[in-house]
Amino acid sequence: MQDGLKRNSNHKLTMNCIDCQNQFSDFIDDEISSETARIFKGHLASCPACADEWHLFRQTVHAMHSFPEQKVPADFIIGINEKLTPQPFAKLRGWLSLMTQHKLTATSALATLVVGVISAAVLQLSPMDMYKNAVKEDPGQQSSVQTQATNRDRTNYYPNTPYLAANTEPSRTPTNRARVQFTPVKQSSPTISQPSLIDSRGSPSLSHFATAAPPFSSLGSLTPDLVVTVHADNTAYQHALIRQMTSNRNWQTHISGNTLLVTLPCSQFNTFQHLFGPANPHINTKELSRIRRSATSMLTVAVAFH
Amino acid sequence: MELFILLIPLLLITSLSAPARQEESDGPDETTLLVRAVRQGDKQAFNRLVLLYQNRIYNLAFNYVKNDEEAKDLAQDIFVTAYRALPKLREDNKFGAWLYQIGLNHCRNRYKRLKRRGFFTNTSLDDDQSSLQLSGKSSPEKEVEEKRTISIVRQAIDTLKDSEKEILVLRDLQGMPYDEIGEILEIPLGTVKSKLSRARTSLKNKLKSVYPKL
Repeated sequence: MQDGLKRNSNHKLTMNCIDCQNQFSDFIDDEISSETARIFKGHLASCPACADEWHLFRQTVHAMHSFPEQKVPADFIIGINEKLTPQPFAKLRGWLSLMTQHKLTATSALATLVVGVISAAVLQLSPMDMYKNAVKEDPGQQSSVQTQATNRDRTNYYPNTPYLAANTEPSRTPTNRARVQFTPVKQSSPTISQPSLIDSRGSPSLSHFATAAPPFSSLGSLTPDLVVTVHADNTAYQHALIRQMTSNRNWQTHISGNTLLVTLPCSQFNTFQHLFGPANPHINTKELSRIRRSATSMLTVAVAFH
Repeated sequence: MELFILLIPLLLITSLSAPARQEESDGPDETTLLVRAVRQGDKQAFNRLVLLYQNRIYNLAFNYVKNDEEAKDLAQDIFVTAYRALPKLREDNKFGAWLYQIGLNHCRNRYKRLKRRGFFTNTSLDDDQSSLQLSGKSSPEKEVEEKRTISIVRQAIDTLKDSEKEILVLRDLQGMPYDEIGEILEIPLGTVKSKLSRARTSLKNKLKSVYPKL
């Protein structure tokens, strides 16, 4: 039978729930025969479940039919004619619009990656070129650069710029590892004339230490008996040494450039020596005896800081 | 006399076919003439074609993108494409269905693109505020309520399959007859009915959760 109609035992046309619900769409559009419509209505009247479904179906379709018609904008046709008018750089604009519509996302991403890699390569290589140019232009600099590179066993990409590691090395060095060297001075004349000594009792200041003074060779008649060379990059360590030497009331001190002249009694030499720590090399006792004999009761020591 | 006898069937045939041609001349004939004129380079004829179809095409676009500016741009693009592709149209009297085919393609593509960009704000149909008022109200809030109902139904339509969505748009939102739908979608009349029935039932089931208890 058509439209899902079947005959029951009484030879009457009937419709089951599935067939009934399949007729919803045709019934609402009036696309079924009058006979089928009559049986359809009869089923709905006797079946609450199908009646509920039919109600929902009808409401859904009516909701769609209630959508308002949108009015066409006034300048609609003008816009079409504008779009049909050939414009300069239309292809370029079209390509750009494609780009903005993310159709070429993968291509643009690849292009960006290539540009990035090339830029990185150029940045990485350009200091090498600078280094080569610098070597050609300045032979003196070439030697220093080569020495630096050899010593450090590294490639110097940035000539004239100190290594960061070189700047950090002193800070890693403990203060008690400062290298101290004692060098006796051979005296042609053991007499020591009175120099213009500075009684620097009290704590020295940095400005005092940095005061411009004649170099060691121009100290005139004040010739030291012993030169102590302190190799310590740590200024705090240097300041501590100076403070201890200048604060001793029995010692006289005089600052000249990077050298501190200390005049002290020979009996206090051990105290002086201990300022530099027990790990530092001690002066030969024979040499010290010679110094003491030649220097009578007072000893002048030049402490040079490097 | 013999000549008169021969002319009688010819006159009968002519008189019977005349009403049919008269019917065609109401709508499609004008379209066909305009299409022919455009083919011959008459740009003004194309403007006339736009005026004939702009309402349907604009509403078709709006039902997909649900935004005035986007619908305008999309509908304009459909006409521009049609104008440029007009030499490829095989039968002049099929311009309407052909224009709709172009329109549906554009709408599908534009909708997908906008959806990818997050153009449409997605409100779940399960939200508490998404409930339909089925009874016809006469309160001052009726207009607001109707707009909300339309919005909810539009969202539900968007969740359907593409094929279900387009047949609902053509039939229930555009009010197109079955034969034209079959022509546009290139499917037989029976298939149009069955597809429409499935699409409507599917939409009803989607909206079932937001209908108030009956």
